[in-house]
Amino acid sequence: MESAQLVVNFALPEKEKTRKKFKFPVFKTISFIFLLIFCILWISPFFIMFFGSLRGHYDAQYFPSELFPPHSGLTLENFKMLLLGEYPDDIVHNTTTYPIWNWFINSCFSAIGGTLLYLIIASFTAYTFVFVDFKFRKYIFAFLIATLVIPGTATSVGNQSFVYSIGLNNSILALIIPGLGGVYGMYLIKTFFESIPKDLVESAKMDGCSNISIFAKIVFPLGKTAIYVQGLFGFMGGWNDLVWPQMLFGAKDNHLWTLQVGMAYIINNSKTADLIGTALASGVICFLPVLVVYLIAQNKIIEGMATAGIKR
Amino acid sequence: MKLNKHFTVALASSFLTISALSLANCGGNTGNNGTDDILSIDTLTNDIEYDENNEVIFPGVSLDVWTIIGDPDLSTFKGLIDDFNMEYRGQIHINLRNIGHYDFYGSLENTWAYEPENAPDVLIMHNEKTAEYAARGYMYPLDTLMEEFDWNKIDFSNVYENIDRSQFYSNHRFGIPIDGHGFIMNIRQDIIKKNGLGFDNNTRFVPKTREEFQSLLEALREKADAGTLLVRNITRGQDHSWKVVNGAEFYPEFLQSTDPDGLGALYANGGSMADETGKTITFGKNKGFQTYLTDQVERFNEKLMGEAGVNTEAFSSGKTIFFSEGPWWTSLNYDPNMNNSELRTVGNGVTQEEVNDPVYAYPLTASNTAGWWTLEENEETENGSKWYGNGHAISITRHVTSATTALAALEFANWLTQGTNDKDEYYLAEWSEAGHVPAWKNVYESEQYQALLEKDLTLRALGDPANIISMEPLQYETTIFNALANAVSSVQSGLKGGSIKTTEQALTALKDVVNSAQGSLDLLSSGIL
Amino acid sequence: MEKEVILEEYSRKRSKAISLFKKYGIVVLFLAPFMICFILFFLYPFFYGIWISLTNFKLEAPGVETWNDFRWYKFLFDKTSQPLLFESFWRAVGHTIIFSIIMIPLAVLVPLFLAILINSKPVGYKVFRCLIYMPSIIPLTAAGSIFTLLFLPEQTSGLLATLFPNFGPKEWFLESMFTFNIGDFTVDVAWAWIPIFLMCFWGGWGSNFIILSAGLQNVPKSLYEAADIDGCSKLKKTLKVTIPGIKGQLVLCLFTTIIGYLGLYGQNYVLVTGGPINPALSSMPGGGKTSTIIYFIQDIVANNTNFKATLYGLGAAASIVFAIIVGIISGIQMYCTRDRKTGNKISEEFKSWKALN
Repeated sequence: MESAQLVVNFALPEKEKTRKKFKFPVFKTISFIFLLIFCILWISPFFIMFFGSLRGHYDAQYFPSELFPPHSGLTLENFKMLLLGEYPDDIVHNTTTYPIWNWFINSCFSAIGGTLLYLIIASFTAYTFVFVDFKFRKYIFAFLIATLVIPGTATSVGNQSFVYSIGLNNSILALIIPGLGGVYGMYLIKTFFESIPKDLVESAKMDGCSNISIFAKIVFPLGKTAIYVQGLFGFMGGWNDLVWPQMLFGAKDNHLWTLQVGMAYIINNSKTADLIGTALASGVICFLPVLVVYLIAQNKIIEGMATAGIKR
Repeated sequence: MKLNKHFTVALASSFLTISALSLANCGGNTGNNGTDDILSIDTLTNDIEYDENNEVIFPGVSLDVWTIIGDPDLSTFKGLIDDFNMEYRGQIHINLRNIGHYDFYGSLENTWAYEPENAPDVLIMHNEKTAEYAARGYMYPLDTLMEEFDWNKIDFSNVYENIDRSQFYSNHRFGIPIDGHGFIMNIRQDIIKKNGLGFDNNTRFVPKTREEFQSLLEALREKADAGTLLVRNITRGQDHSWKVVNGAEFYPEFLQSTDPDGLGALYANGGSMADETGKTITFGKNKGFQTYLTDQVERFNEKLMGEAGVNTEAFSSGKTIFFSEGPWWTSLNYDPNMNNSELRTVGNGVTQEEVNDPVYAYPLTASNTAGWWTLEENEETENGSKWYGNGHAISITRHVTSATTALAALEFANWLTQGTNDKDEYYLAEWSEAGHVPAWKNVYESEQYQALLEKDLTLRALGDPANIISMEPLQYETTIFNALANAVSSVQSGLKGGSIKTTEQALTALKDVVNSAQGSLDLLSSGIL
Repeated sequence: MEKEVILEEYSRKRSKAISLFKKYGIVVLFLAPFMICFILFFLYPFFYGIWISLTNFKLEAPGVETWNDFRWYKFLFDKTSQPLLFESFWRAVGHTIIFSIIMIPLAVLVPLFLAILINSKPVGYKVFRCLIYMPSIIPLTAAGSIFTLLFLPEQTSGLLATLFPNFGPKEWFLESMFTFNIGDFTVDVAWAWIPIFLMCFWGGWGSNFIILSAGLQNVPKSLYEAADIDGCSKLKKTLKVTIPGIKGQLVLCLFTTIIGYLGLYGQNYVLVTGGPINPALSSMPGGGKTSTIIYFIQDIVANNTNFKATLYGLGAAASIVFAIIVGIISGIQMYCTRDRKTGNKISEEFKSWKALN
């Protein structure tokens, strides 16, 4: 009741205000028109990719400009070539089939498995830094933060030889394990946890709750948005990563590759006209999972990125 | 970022902590030492037992064989391995693993370094790599090994010397050649004949010398420009009648394959990749190789040669006459598709006369390029009529520590190269059907192989193995070979991109590439690394 | 008696142990996995990398290396020791820096401009925001396939070349845009930079855009009202109120962008694999006409087994040099943004952000 009234009270003067000095929103309209044109231009490459991947190789070769719609209609030929190894009879060269399903699984493993594992480890760590008091806490954390100035490139060479020497050189575990020590994601989660009222945690401690149950019952439910957002970033980062998997396995058996490494290889290989379609199709295959995640969680990703930006 | 007051403290403390950590690193583990004498066979334990006939007993030896052989010839090879396993059941068993040619050497090196326990016992790879891996200590010197264990089943005088030369390093044999193969040129002989451009009164359609090849290209261009060049489309289902070709769409040939022909030009003109030490690159100075590059510039400028692209289609429709390709495709694909039965049936533009003439009935022919890149002054030299081809070779790695296993590997090598089945047919000849010429004289000269020649266009095109020169043994093969490939591809991309228009520019590019590779080679061989 | 004392002591010790465990056990339990990973896969590799760069380390045989008197660093910094390697590395550095200088203002100003437009909240601004950010999530390989198709030559059915046959060069990925000499040093700018530039421009600043538009929303309305009362023009308002109001975000964007473009690798790998070939440097790592610092490093440690086997320490040295450059830049960034937000303010913001959802 009360709240409803509040809303009304709040809304009325607002309305009067706008009615009083109504002005045609010139800037808004200009913005709208500009943004509309810009966005159409901006997403046109996506259409090039999707339509291009649905064209047959004959089209790609002889009617390159008839992209929308394709000359001979839409076909899944490129996807069949890539995923099933079903090549049309007139393609003689480059009919190698690649272990794309392996790559897909490796990518999933690295993006999903790596992210989940990291979230568990990092959120426990963040919890400890925020809510548990121990000696040198501040110094350890400040040290961790100080290491953020060291870019990944500096550690990757040492990491590569280290990972090789501990026997992970042929294991996709190597894709995720080095990421588990990342400070940045932990730091983001920690800053989110800091905004959870400390009194809540303190009173739970007084009541004799263990740290594990405090984490499970208070901190996790309140901070799960942060974990969720970090999870989305982790997934997209892991899925899109090219440098590390390539460093590990680029020169190795292609069953160990991730989609990114493999697709980069296919794209470089199929720069001839009759196979550019498969390059686009491989682009679509890489992109679809991220796109789905983005469209579902678009709000959270954008807001999460915005808050992370403001927080720093 | 929340650093504030702790920032300096943290940094200082961090470096203290870590310097302690890094000290701990220095200990490290003791890796395998890479200074093994590459000629030693001391790592082999003599565990050989002989039966009453003085034959070695193989008590169920298992051999891990890695091969670079891939599709389309892998299935043939697998069949042979099955035969071997069957024949030696209970004695020797081969576990075959094939790795694509792009990944093979990387996988080998990685496995060697990080999982030495999973390294292969036997390698079947391209013969130009033998010296490089021998120099790195991956393999046993086979001659020492055979002498030590008194094993002399193989008569190496049966191997063609030009192919065998790649198998020696430091005057020791590290590999046993299996076969030879190279890129071959596919040719539209029907068009050459129809337009009266053949040699020897229009009866021979494959050029033999650089001059013949050049004059044929020029004649084709001239006729095409004059609008008098007749061509026909031999694609299945198309109209096969003769039509005048549109000169703007016609190119006598396309850019050469990147490196094999370049190597052919080098060796046929008496050149070598590097000097005797293997540490100074010499191919850049070879006149033949230089001419190979400058020829491409001139031919490109005079429209005798088109840019590389999708050219099988142009080839079957008659818009180009020559194109270069790996040998196996010819028999497997082009021969059945292009020399198709429609061309031997009257109608659809095909006349009775054409059906009766084998040149028109089988318009696609193929040939090796022996002599095509040889300069006039070198035509009479020993290598003048030869061409470059690589091939496969077998070697035994130092992963093997038992002499019995090593002998089992030799047994397998002997079986594969010299063995015959119960019908006295060479297994190697069977392997040749997949598009390779045997590296062994007795196999090549056998009736069985000569009969194969009759029916297989690829084998006819590859011709006599005596004319095939393999690469000289090079410790730094990868670096030197990449330099040669880079030289050809930078000229070709320069032609396409327009940055190379004159022969001088091509030679400058060659000089630059060689210079850069020499720098890299000096670094490698200086011993400071 | 004695026994009692012992027992007492024992129980005291035990209870102390238990309380110690209670106090620190959980810290160890919660912290250990992360710290172990951090030490093993961050700190250790970092120092191991430094170690590698200072020794004649061999990837095949780790553990037997010896001090090498800064050989790898001499290769990078002393022109006379390995002139070709030196040239290759510094060309890569030059490419990276010049490209960053061109790219960075665009990657901050364009999203700022768009963020200002979005901040006026036109109809459907959320959709626009979503679409503008979309190219930033696309994997490099997928984006690469699109730009490859666009810029292929006409002969292989490139889209631009087919639609506009007279536009631009014939071979985008092979030709040189222009060359000039400074003394006897030739600068050769390849056309391939254009597709690389467009790919970066298309998908490279989405997060800047989001951060800046969030920053704009957080500029207090009261400031604008005050400016209105003072009779400020729109432009003046932008300069005097908006820009100072989002200074923090601008600094953040600037530095992340600088660091991002210094690490340019994926775009030039996917589109041209560092090419076109520069014949004079063709046997050197990162010798292509579009190579960058990371490309130089990746060429050694990932793309080429020969370099990997022989020049591994050089890759490590180059990555340490790169790390020092980036470390200095991020150090400056940390210094610039220090003390900006107290914990209190952050939690306020978090609450307001939660309220938004």
